[in-house]
Amino acid sequence: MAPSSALKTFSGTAERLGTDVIETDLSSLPERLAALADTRPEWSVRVSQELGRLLPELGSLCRGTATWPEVMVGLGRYAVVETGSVVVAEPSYGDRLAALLCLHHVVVVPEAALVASREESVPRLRELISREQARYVSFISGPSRTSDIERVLTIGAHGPMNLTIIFVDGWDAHAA
Amino acid sequence: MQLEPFRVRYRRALDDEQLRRNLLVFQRRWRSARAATLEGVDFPAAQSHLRDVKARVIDKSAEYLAQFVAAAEANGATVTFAAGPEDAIRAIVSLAEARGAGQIVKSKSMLSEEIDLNHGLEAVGLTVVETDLGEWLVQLAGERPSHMTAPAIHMNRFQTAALLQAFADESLGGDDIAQQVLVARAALRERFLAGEIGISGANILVAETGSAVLVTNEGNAELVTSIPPIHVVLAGVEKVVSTFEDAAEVLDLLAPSSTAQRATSYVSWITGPSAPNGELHFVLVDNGRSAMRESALFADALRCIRCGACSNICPSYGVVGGHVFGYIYSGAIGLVNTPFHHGIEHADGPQSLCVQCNACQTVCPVDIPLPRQILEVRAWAAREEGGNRIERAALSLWARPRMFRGAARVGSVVQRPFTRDEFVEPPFLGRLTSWRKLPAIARRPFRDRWPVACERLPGSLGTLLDGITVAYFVQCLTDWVYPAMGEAISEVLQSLGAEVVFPRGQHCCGLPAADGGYPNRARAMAKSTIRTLEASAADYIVTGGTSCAVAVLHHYPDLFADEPEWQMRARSIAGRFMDLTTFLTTVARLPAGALTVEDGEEAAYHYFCQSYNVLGFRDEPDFLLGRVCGLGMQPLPEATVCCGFGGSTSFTRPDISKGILERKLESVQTAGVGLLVTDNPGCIMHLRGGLAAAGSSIQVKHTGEVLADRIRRLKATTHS
Repeated sequence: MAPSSALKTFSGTAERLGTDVIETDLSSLPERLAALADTRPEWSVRVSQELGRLLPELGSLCRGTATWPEVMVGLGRYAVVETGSVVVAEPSYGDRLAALLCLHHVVVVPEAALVASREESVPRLRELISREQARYVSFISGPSRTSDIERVLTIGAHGPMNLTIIFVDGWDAHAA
Repeated sequence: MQLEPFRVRYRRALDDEQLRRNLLVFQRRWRSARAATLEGVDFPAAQSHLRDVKARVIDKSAEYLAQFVAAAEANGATVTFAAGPEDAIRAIVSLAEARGAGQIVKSKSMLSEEIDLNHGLEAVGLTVVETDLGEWLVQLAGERPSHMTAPAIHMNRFQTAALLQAFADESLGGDDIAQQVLVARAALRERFLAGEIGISGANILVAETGSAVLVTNEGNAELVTSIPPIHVVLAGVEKVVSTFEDAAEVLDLLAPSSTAQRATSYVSWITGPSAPNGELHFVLVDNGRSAMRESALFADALRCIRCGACSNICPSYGVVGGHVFGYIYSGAIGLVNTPFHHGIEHADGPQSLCVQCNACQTVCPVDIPLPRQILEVRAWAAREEGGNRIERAALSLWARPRMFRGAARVGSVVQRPFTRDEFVEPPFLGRLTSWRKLPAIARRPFRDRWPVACERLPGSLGTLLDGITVAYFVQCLTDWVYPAMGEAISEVLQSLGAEVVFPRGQHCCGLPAADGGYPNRARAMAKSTIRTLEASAADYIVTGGTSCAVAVLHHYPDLFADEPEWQMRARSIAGRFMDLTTFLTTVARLPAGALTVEDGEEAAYHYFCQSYNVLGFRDEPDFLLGRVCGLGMQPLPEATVCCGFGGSTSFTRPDISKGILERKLESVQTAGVGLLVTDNPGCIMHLRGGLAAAGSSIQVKHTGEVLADRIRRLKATTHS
């Protein structure tokens, strides 16, 4: 699958799950993130240590002093087209908790890190867990949800109410 | 916590109209959502693939477990094996005491329900809060989950609002589900942050890396396993798979089968303690699983991935829900594993509600032979608990052909004062007959009417079966209640040119006894059937009793598992044995348009559940009725769902039978046709009785009767 058509398929699946999908390039990324954060100026924003290490220019987005920010921006390691999932493995414990407790989770992922299926993602998962020794890896497919009352779908159970995935074209996170 | 006695739970559920509506909405939504999610997926192929993955787990469990333990310990986790509930609870209590922890938060774990963990922890003064919304609602109500993945599905929005009101500032009307979820979110957020120990289950344990995989939508498991510094994973030993590849296979079918999603919102892979100075402890529980592994038949149930599909598809579950259809584990799997985890006495009542429609196995992502296992539990319960006395007496009579025939003939006379039209209405059978009319025994059974004289159709149709001899296996109901149906079927066969013979000694194939949990009696009847049919040299043995075909083709090999000689003889009979629809479409190969009479008549087709689920009927009925006979076929909603007859269930559990029938009749009304066609005399009796009691004029006919009717009209046109 060509990268652009893979992204299109991913977006279709992810959007049906309630995820917002944005495509941008490295130079426009800070601007796109700032615009996103400015939709709710009263909310605190934090960028994960791992993402900040790779892209120091995003540090200026951080604001507020809340223990648990409303907006948490983190790094996606890869994304799975088939299921519309993004895979996160923040090494910082605080960042991982913040991503669970925030209202809006924003995940930035290299567009090149799209894989077709869960099956094809296995080698990457093995690399994350066995080689990098990532202790907590999550596949996230949409905002937190529940259907426990009458099997009626409701968004925003215990985790984030909103999920945005930003694909960055031409960014090689490994080389950074 | 002991559940109340079965009969108490059963009666209460039957009296709960609200429950029935909740369940019906739930099951219908699931059916359509699952179909949409699996569109384009070769489910049977995926199913057999995953079956093999999980079967390896059972074969090599010691090896995988050892690998898992070594990997988990290398990651800094501890692993404790618990033989039963006491060991598991003690391990967690000791941990809490050693760490001075009193606040426990939990995400969903069926195993914790199985061992009644919460009460064990509360008994020593620990506070336990369930954080999955459904589990929390059930905890607030002081109940048990009624479904493995949708614990509170027996409640409606007003009932849940009442439970959540104590945590809300505003008044919860009930209509706004989103508002209720927000209330739960705020209330539980505090509990998460106060948690000192987090207990989760595990959907999968991966031997390769010692990882636990958790599958959720709400994100509560992520919070439970991240915020408290101590994380306990409580899981059954059967949850271990070998590799990430195997785990991915489980994930591919778990969400589609449980919540009908391609993927849940969260799938987390936890490999070793992840909080700073955190701890990770695995408590792996056996509690009867080793005994299951020892059994050739029940070992297969260890493949279960706890998706709940067997509840979602089950018509009996749809009537009474998981507090009745099951014990701690609900649905078909609950009928099967309860004897091993909780004792046969708790499985006896629930197993009696299974109608053996076989739908559960068709949707089970690991292809567990649930219907067969339930029959085995039924036989086990009959041995241990005595079974149903009336059923036993009836089957005992049924097993003696000569006495049965005598009784049926006496009955056909005795019933006369109570007989109106084709129905018998004895005043003393209230609960059995107020909602369905029972048919009268025929004055002359089919066997007294044979031979049925009949000429061939003119032209090429009359030679379709030229030179082929067919032995007609009439089936009990057809013989004694609906002999005209038998005449119609033999007319169809003769009209197409077959030479039809009627082996005189035939009696029941044994299916009612097998279904009732009396395998010895079933074997005796099967042997007598095999002997009678062996005596006939006919090319084919054809029946209009599709359930008999299921018995001969699918039950006989199991019944004779320990008698190889009889198994061989049964297989040889099965090679010639066919239901009418299969015979007409694969041997006679009736061409499209052959029996078309342009009269604009419309009909709908109800699949006898086992025709669809066991024999694999798909387009054949539509072809015969629509293309061959020219009927205007209208879609019947939920056409493959059981009608509720369910063999003996119809008499031993009439309320279940009635509940399922009501759902079916609603679908029939929706189809808006005057004629309902199906393939099995049991369904026909049940549907005719239900429609007549409801005052409906809709007719119910056997496929063979529809064909015979067309043939008679074609012959009449050629003669005039």
